[in-house]
Formats: sequence, C-alpha cells, structure tokens
Amino acid sequence: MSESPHHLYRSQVEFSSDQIQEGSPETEFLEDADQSYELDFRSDDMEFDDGAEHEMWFFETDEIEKTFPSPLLRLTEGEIFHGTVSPSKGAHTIHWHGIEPDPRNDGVGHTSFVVSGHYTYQWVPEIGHSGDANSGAAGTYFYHCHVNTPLHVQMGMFGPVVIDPVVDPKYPVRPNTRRAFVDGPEYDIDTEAILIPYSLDPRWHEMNHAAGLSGEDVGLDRFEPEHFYLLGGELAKGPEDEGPWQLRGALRAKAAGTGGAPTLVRLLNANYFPVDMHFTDAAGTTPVPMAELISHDGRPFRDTSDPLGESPPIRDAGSPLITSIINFGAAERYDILLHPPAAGKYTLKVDLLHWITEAILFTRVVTITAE
Amino acid sequence: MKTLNVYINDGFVPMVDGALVYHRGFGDRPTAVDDAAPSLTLPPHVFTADGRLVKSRKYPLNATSPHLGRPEPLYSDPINPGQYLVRRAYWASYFPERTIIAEAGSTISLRVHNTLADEHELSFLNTAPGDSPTAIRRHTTTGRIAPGSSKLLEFEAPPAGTYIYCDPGTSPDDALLDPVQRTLGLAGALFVANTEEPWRITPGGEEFERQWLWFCHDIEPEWARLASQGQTVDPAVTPAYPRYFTLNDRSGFESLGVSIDEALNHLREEDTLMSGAARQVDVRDFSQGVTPDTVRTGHMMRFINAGIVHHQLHFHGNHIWTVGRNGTPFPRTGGFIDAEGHVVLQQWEDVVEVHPLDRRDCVLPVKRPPEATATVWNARTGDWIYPMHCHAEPSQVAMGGMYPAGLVGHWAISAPVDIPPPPIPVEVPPDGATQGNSGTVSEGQSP
Repeated sequence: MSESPHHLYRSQVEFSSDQIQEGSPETEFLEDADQSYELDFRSDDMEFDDGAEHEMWFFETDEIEKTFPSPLLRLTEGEIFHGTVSPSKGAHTIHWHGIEPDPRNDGVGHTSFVVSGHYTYQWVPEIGHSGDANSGAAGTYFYHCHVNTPLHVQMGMFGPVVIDPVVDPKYPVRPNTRRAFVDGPEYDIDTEAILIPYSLDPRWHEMNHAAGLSGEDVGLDRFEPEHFYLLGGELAKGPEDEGPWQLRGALRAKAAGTGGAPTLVRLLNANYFPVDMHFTDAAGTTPVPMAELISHDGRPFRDTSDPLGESPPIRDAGSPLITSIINFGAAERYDILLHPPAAGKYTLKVDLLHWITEAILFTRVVTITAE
Repeated sequence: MKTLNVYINDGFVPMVDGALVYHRGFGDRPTAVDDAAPSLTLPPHVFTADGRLVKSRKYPLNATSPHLGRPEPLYSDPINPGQYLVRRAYWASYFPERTIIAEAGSTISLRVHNTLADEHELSFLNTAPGDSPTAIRRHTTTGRIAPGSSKLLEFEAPPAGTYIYCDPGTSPDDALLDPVQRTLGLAGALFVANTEEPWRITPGGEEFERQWLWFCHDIEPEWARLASQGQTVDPAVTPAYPRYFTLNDRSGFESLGVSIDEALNHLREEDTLMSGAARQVDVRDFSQGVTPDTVRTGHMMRFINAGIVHHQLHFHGNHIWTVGRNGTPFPRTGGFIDAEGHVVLQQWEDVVEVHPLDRRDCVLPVKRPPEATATVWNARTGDWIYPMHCHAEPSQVAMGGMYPAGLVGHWAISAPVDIPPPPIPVEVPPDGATQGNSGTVSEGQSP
C-alpha cells in the first residue's frame, strides 16, 4: 500500500481540474466476495409524482434498472463486499458513506482515483457484539459518486445501503422479524421502510459532468430547490416500476399492543438542507411521540456509563429516545421504530428548511396507517 | 495583569481563487483598508492564571510540540497489531488564528480600538452566568464603540470550553439575528483551558492526546462589496448568498495543505489537519490506561461555526464520538431528545450538525478503519489519508465551481513505525478494547 500522492498545486483551478484518473485500477488483495454488485452508470429522464420530468443520473444493476434512488444494497456484517463500478460515460467513483475501508476503497477522487473503466471496491462490515459500543456496522448507510460531488449527488447518483447484524444466539429472532443491530430490538420485516427526503433544483439538471471544474462559475453554491420529494417505501416490496421510487403519501406501521414487532423506518437525508419531521395525530394538530430513535449514522444509541461493563442499547437501559420531532441535516441517517399508540391514522409532516434562514421551503405529508 | 490590544480594522483578503474580498476583523495592530497585509485576525495569545499574557499558538505552554502537529506514539500495542499506545498528558496542541486562549482562573483583559468609521462591538457570547444555573448564559461585551474610540473589557475566564466572540451588530442579545458583522469577519474563538487537567476537556471529562480547534466560516462577497462602500447591509434586502466557505480561514487546496506555499502547508498540518498513529480506543473510558504513561484515547475536536449556513461535517475513515454541545456535556446514560429534535446523549456520528453559532466537541478516535480488510490493513506502509468535508454540498465549491474548493480538510492515520512494545507486561483491557475486523485480533505484521 503506497502513501497517497501529495502533489502541490499553484492554484485551486489547477487542483480541481487535476483529478487522478485511472482507467481500470486493480483491487489490491482481492478476496472472494460474499456479496457482489455490478453498478453501471446511466442517465435518463424520469417523471415524478408532481408531474415534473427531470434528467437523472443513477447507478443500476443487472436486476434493478432505471430506478431512483439507485438500487438498495444489502448485506450482513462480516461479509466480504464487492461493488464494481463501470462508469461507461465520464469518470466517477463510489463512496460508501459511513462505511470505513482503506483509502483506495473509500471512493474519493482526490484522495485515491476516479474511475473511467471499471474498479471493484472491497470492504467488510465490522461485526458487532452485544453490549459493545466499540464495534458493529449494522445500520443504514448510502453510497454516492464522489466526483464533482455537489452536482453528481444532486443528479441522483446515490442509493441506500443496509447492513444487517449477525445473529447472536443470546438474541434470537422470531419469525418475520429481524434485529436492527446485534442486540437491538426486533422489527417487523413486512413493514420495514426507508424514507429519503430529497429536493431538486432543475437548473442543476442541465449541467455537464465536469461543470465548474475548470474554474467557471456554474452556480453550484446556489441551490434553489423547486421540488421536494420523499423517496423510498417498504423494503420488502422495493421499487415496483422504473423511475422514481416515491413514498406517495402513505406508510404502514404496526400498532402498539398487537403483540408483534414494531415497524422500523430508516431515514436518510439526501438533501443539502436540513429537514424537520413532525409526528402528529391524523388531523396534524397534536404531536404524537411515536418515533423511537435507536441508531444514528449506523451506530446504536447505547448507555456507556459503565467504564468496565456492558453498554446496552439505550432503550434497554430504561431510557428509550422517544419523540414527536426529529431535526437532521444533510447525509445524516436515523433508524427509528414507530410506536403508534393505537390502530388508526397518523400524520408525518416533513419540512424542508433553508440552510441559512431555516424558513420552511416545502412540506410533504405522509399518512401513517397503524394496523 | 496584561492587556491585549485589539484593533477593529478592515482590508482586502485573497480568497482561494485569488479574488480579493473586503473583510473586517479583530486584529492585533492598526492597519488601513489599503494595507497589503491588513491585520484582521488575532494571533493566538494565552491569558495565564498567574496574570501573564503570552503570544503562543501552542497550549499547554510547556508541553512538547508535535512535529507537523503529529504526535508520535510511545509503544506498539502488543494486543492490537498495527496499532500503538499513545502518550498520556504529553503533547501540546496548536491553535489557529482568531483563537484567544484563557486558562481557568485567569482574567481576560482586552482594550478594543475601533479604527473604522462606524460603531462596532466585541461580544463574548455565553460567557457570563444566566439568571439561574439552568438559564441561557449571557454575553460579555464592550457595548458599542464609537469610531476612533476604544474600550477596556475585563472579565473572569468562564468555565472550560469553547466560546464565540463577534460583533453582534444590531442584535446584541441574540447574535443569531444579525449575522452581518461576523460574516464580514468580525468573529473569533475563545478557548478556556482546563488548567488543572489540561488533557481533559473539562474537570473529570474526556481525556485526549491533543486537540484541534476548527473555525468554520462563510463569506458573502456581495455583503462585503456593499460594506466596503459604506452601505448598510440588510439581509432582508440582500439575502445571504455565501460564495466561499472556510475552515480555519482557508478553503479548498489551501485548506488541504497542497499549495505551493510550503509555509502555509506547514501551518495547516500543525493546526488543522489531524494525524496520528492508529490506536484502539474504548468509548466507555477515554482515560483507560495501558501503562502509566500511555492512554487509550483519540484527538478532541472543537468545532465552531461562526458562519451563516448549517454545516454538516462528515468524516471519512472513522466515526467520531460526540461528547457535548454549546458547553453542555452530553450524558452517557439517560439522555433525551430536545425540543428542536436533537438527541442529547454521547453517541457515534459520521456527520456532525454544526448550526450557526454552535460549538460541538467530539473525539476523533484515530483508530483502525473498521471496514478495511485485515490483509489490506496489515500490508499498509504509508499514511492513510481520509477526507473531511461539509455534506451541505453547496459549501464545497468557491464562486460556484472548482470542486473541492470549499470547507474541506483531511486527517491521516500515520504509517506504521518500528517501535517496541512496552517493557512492562500489559494487562488485557476489558472487553471491547481490542479490535480487528470480524471482531477478532487480526494476524499481522509486528510493528
């Protein structure tokens, strides 16, 4: 493994336009993969639920083509992962946000290389241990291109990653349930969902791949969203059609008292601006503290007060983090359990906030139906 | 007791693309607007508990300086191959321009001279007690200073931690409401050291190997142009459109220490770009000793956002462990979600929200990246460099382009070095303090 190049540059534009290009670099110390994905780059027009049509850039696999966000990648802790990117048009990378491999497999152009041919990224999600705050990768992540990143991510070159935990015999799982992390709570597989707030500035969708890199002012510091979408849905179903995978205003949840495991919703803020999420009654007037935050950025909330003993999940230490409001910014993830107090309908209001003024720019509303 | 003279000046500052943008600032000597090198930031000074005023970028004053800011490990770690044991309470930290350092128990004494043609103010936010122990802390301020006048400001150092100083403009009680003067450059950081235990964040708080202060700022050229012409900037009339985004006053390739200005690169390595030997940390206890002179801990990050946008600091390579916000230590047990919807509990994060005028404290563990395969980890020979960038991506360009030209940095796990293990037997630490991918201590080279 060689030291990262440390070239010196006379100007910013020289630095920006000097991406370290390698056609098809070799993966060092390649091992046999447990999970392997081929990710090809593609662009196409897509029509969204507000009737607007936008040019989108995205990755696709042999199994899932032309969807936005790019296909969900799912694997289990301890599995060797291979993700092979074949840009075919332009030069790209894949950064595995929150996953922490060596720099060559981190997928950042200016600290490793950009790929114009193909490259197989390799990493292995760390195995977690019950009661251990120092280990474990189970949780929610995302992957995205890290070349001219403001533009390429806005154009759609991202998709979710879910890491499932290994099963610890001390924490078995009942049928139709899974655990969010090794000693985490069981959740209902059937209603597990992902919710990805994403806003879109149509002006950006007219640019070329390398816009701005040669020093021209293309306004990549001026993000003025004209559309706000809630991407995602239930993971067991996945995207049913080509095009944007959108929540379309409805989410199912298991109601309290049914005896089953609750619903897990994975939140990923794919905006450049913050969002507020408000859980209320059906009328949208009374806050309902029905969201329990169990993980952030792929790491469980734990009680770490015993310097020598176990660090149990915070919920098992008697302090579940239950709320009716969540504020989070760009690229953050939360895993939340839904605890509707009774069967019926509830409202989730998602506000997109301006990154300076905090003014509400758009609001989307989701009806949560507790069964 | 010594007094630090502070001058409110203006002048033009080169941006990362070479453009000169009008700034105001708190400097250490009077300079005119057309000065080729205007004094717009304070070089770090230390107010000591025994009444001295020492110009120093390093603290503690008598601690050993790490070469290029990088602390060297003391021993190899016999139970975590490829990782090291780091020195306890040994290394000095470098602080960037704009930092005023005050030891606990010291008196901060400033004489503030306003060289400009309009009134200004220097306010240290949240440095005075509130009406009750749980109330919002008050500010310590000079009040308005007339053009050509000066005022003396003296106050006891507040509790250990970081604070923001700025000109709050027309809103002295709530600086958030008027960001204009601080956006023009009238802002900086006060760092109050825990004198009794300089390598702990607060008395009894988390221990660290060294610390780093990151001052985030956003520059609005149109506001600067209006101000340079003596006009009043009204954000309602001219909404903020920041076009440069800085980390410790630099952006892009200059922030990353890859410019042809070797002296600047050197400064960046010392005060901004974290690096160190890989070590195993245990978040339950950052004071876990291994030998009497070593400790299992990382680097303390003191994030300060004096800018106007919501920054989202994303670290590659390691998650970081958040221990507090705005002077309030986060608990390890219990915890809650505040009225704004934020979790108040010590936690791992790979993206740290830093709202305008927020201060956050986090530990960068500098540990083995957990998803690197064992073979790759064991074969490494050089530094492993990882980016840090703001994920509010419009902050990643300058004047609308030239990515990555905005609020960026990086950190490095230093190359393996050939040093022996400790000469005394090492106890195997409690469960969780060893690491290797797949949860086992990996086979590897003996460092």
